[in-house]
Amino acid sequence: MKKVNLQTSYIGLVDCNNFFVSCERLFRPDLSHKPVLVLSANDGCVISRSKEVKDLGIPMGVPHFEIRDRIKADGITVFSSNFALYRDISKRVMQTVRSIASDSEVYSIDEAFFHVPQNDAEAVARTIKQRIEQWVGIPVSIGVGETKTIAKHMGTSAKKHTGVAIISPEARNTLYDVSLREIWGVGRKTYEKLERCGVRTVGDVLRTGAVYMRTHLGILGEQLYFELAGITTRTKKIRTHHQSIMSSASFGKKVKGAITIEDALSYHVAQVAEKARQDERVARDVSFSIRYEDADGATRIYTERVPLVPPSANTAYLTKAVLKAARPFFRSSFSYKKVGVVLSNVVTQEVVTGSLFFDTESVCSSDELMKVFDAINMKHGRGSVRMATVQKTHAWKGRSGFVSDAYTTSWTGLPLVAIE
Amino acid sequence: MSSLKPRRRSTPRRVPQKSLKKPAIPLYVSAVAAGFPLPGDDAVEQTLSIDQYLVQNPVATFFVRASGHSMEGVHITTGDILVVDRSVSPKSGAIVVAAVFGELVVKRLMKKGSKTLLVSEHADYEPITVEDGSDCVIWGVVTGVVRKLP
Repeated sequence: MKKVNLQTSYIGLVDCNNFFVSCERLFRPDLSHKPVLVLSANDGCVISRSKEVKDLGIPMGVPHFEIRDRIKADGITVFSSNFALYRDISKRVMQTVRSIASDSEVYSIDEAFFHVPQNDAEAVARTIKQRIEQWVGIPVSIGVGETKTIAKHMGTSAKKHTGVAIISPEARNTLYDVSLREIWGVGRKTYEKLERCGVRTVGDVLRTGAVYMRTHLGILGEQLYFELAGITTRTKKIRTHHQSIMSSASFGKKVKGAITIEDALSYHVAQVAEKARQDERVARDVSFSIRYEDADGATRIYTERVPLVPPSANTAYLTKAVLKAARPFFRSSFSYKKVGVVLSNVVTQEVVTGSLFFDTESVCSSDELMKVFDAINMKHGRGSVRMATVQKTHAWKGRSGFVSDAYTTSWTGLPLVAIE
Repeated sequence: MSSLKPRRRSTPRRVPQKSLKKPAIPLYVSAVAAGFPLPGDDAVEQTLSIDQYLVQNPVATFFVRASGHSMEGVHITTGDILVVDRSVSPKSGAIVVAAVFGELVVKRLMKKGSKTLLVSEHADYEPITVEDGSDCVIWGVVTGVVRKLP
């Protein structure tokens, strides 16, 4: 990894504009400048909107059924999520960023942080933006500042202007008046706490100082102060530690029966485990959550975290761990609404291979099997090979009626291009 | 897949139970050659990959499928997979994928003076001028054609 001089280096954040919509538009030039939205798994609610849809006043997260009439009236093109496509495009975006900023850190499917020399920030940011748009065809905005929080904030103003915004004395002045509600990492609870102390804006935080923030909000408050003051607390690597991978979906309808719920859990375990293996990572914990109605019809959530010793990304091992923990909870009187699986404390494999003296029998012995597993699924489509608990007929699996082709990940899904 | 076979216990079992649990650590990764080295042994890594041959910049390369009339001049026919590189700058005479009035089409790019034209092999289609603000943009440059024979 390249060494960076922190004194003269800024942090940049690349953020793909309306990422899922932009992916859908890549092979559909007919949809540029038209209203397009993408629904969550299960076609539940809106998770990505084109500018045109935002201008129509359709909010993020609104349930699909609530806007059916508007979709028709306003001629909005609707897509179900096509994560095979989004992941592939995301990978390309991230690799393009890395081709210029070698130390970049993937933050989410559509965001990445990178280091940039202070005196060259504008030029580098423009180059990254231009290259992603040319090579991958996804529009992006880039915010640059002393810290991640400031970079994120500059990103929002970049979206409103030319797509690149760099911290400057003027930008810093306007930052003072920005409400903490708009600052990344300040949740509702934190904001309420701060407000009670009379701290509402970025300027308020900077005036009260690190000590005050620490006494009232603990280490996180102090960190917020440093982030906003432009002082990097975590040095060298921009990599964050708490990485997690999630897969969840609501059932199309309420479902009963332990078999169905086991099937759903196994499915989500397979999803997250495959994702982790793709990134050559393993998890230290796996947790699952089940939203259900109890015998009295009250909606409840059951969650449990299962530590993985040793850390693993093995589907068989994870499925076993999750089902073992979940089984005692099942009741025939329950009906289930939603399940999710989260891998947390996801670390690179090297971190783990350092400790050879786990009882590796249960895990490593089938790493080869997992490789074969992934290879077959890649060749013949996801789900061709499954753990025996993952059923082929997903009684519980929701609808997804508007899904686009696997344009970049399947030979049968290639975009058609007319020869003229 | 040897890893799936049941483990065979080493006999006699005089070692304490606990040490049996130790993972097997391989003593060597590759075999040590004791004889005369095979000439050209260092070249075995080189295998030919059609991917490598066709794709210069994987990040910017997409595959699309051609459909419609044949472009005989450039040997493209319906069903062919076209290798499209978005990072290549289109030169005059290049075969390109372009977004023309909302549709992805394959055309030949011609530069005449300051004008950029998309030309069809077919007489039925008029050349289209690519300019700022028009509904025509170059999507990528076709750098290869892949076809399986039946």
